Amino acid sequence: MFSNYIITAWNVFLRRKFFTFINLFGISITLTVLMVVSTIADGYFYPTGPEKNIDNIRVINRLVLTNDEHSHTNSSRLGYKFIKDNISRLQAPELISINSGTQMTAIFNQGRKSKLLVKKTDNVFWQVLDFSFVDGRPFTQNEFESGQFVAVINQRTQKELFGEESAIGKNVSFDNQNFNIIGVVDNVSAVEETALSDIWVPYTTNATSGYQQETMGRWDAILYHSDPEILEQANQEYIHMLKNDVILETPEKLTEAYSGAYTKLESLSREMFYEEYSYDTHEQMFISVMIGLVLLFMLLPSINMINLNVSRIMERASEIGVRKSFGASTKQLLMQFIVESILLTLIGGVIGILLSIFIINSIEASGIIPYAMFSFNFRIFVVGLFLVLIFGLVSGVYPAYKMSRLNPVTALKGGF
Amino acid sequence: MLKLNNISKSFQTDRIETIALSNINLHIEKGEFVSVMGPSGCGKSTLLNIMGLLDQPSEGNVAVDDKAIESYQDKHITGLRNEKIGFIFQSFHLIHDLRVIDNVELPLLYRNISAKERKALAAAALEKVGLKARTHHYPTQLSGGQQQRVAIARAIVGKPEILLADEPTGNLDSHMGDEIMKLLESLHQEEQATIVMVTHDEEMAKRTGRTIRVFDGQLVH
Repeated sequence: MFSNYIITAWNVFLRRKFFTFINLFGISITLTVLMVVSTIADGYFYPTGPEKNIDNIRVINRLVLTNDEHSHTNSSRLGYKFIKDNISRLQAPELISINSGTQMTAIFNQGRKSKLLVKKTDNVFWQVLDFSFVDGRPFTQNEFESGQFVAVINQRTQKELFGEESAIGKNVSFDNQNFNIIGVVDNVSAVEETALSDIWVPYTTNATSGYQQETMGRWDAILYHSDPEILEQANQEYIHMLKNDVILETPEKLTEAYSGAYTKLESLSREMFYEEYSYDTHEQMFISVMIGLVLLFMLLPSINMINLNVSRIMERASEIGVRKSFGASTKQLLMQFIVESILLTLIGGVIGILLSIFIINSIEASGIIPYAMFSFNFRIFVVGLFLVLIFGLVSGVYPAYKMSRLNPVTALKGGF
Repeated sequence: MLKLNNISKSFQTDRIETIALSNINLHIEKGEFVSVMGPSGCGKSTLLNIMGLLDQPSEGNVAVDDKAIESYQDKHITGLRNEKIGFIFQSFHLIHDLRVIDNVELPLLYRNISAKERKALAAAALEKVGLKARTHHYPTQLSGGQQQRVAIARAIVGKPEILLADEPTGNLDSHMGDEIMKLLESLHQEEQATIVMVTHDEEMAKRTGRTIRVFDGQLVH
């Protein structure tokens, strides 16, 4: 019986090529967009590069300072002094890394100018993130503390500056400083914004020490713990500290501090539903809005398919009449039409998945997102399959229900 | 084998009640070839639909093999439609998306029969109507007369107890109509098929064993 449903469905598809094409087009394009978006989101929330231990780290990269009346407010990344005065006091994290945001820097080499990202970090940075070294090593605590001019570069930088030759032991110069290259790592995808850079050097090599007096600035702190649950405690500890005994020395006499050691999802959600004077991240709302957007996006093709399927009732009314007069039950007809529409969405789903793989590969090759490495994995496949089935059911059940309940006498007359 | 007891049927349309059939008593014996005649709109088709259990009478009841139909719910009625009745329609009503053989096996889909057996039975039915060579064609590739033969093969494939034909020759020219009539006659004579046929054609009606005349929803004798 079931195989007969599928054979009938297949015949219907082949005999109604235009209908099939329109349906497949709608399904596969919708799914492709959703799959591409979810692959990129997957790459963002579940990184595969140095941030792959994402559950063991929390990044603090936003700080809002204000006075009692909220009449004077600063919002930016953290200052070095703020981190040292406050975040360094946290008890919960096993490790705390301090590092600067990246800066685009011009590097001249053999008469050619390269624009590369430079990030200044401590040695703990290499412990809290999971870089894969293709050559050499990271800088040590000793090298960091004594302010040695050493650098770790990525493969792109090695290729750009030295071609195929090994970079270890060679020098790279910028900002009138000369760094000895001691390590080469894999390129970091741009979605891993905490790890991202082309060149990493110790911040103790900074030419001036002015940064040490800044409360607001361009620094991040990374909290690390081998147990992800303790990181949430670290966040609570941090927020408690901000509320009760934050150390602030600002000329504007700012007294209140708002920040948090958030997960990636929480940070993103906070960016979207930004509330200046709050510690809330509203991630529940964020997730709801995202699901809402996805449903809204799927709604249009679904309505289109429902419409197509309903107009198919007209055409196939007599088929329903015939099947009923020869003993088909409403349930059997319902099954037949649901199988038809699920089969159609599954075919559309396969096309959509292939199309998404093609587009993702094109995005990777095009360099729109630098060094992006997305991979289709089981998670994405499950999401895709789930979307396909939702789609098939939404667009198929209502018309099938309507079709199957037609009165055989009126159906045979070709109407309702 | 098929009894209509005091059947009435009325339709409610736009607050006007239309009476299609009133007080019909009819008994079809096994092996009979009965024709139903009457002017357009007299209720012939409604009568046939009620015989075929497609339509529910407003009053009275239908009895198949002396068992009165009590409920027209799916679970009570689909099995009877499937096993007892074979329909032949004026406009053939073949499913254009399916090949001839798949159209013919359709009634067997709703029984517990293996695919292989279904195909064998459908092929035998096609042979009976002389269309074995067209097994893998699509209905639109056939002439009107051939399509009606396919429809007859579909009606007999499940060996129902009664064939109900609603103007089976109405859409065909006289030559093709005659062929279809001959086919029905041979089914009646050789296989003792019970047939009820609605027709407008006095000549066709004469070729059947008994003619029932319907006028304004009532039987006239």
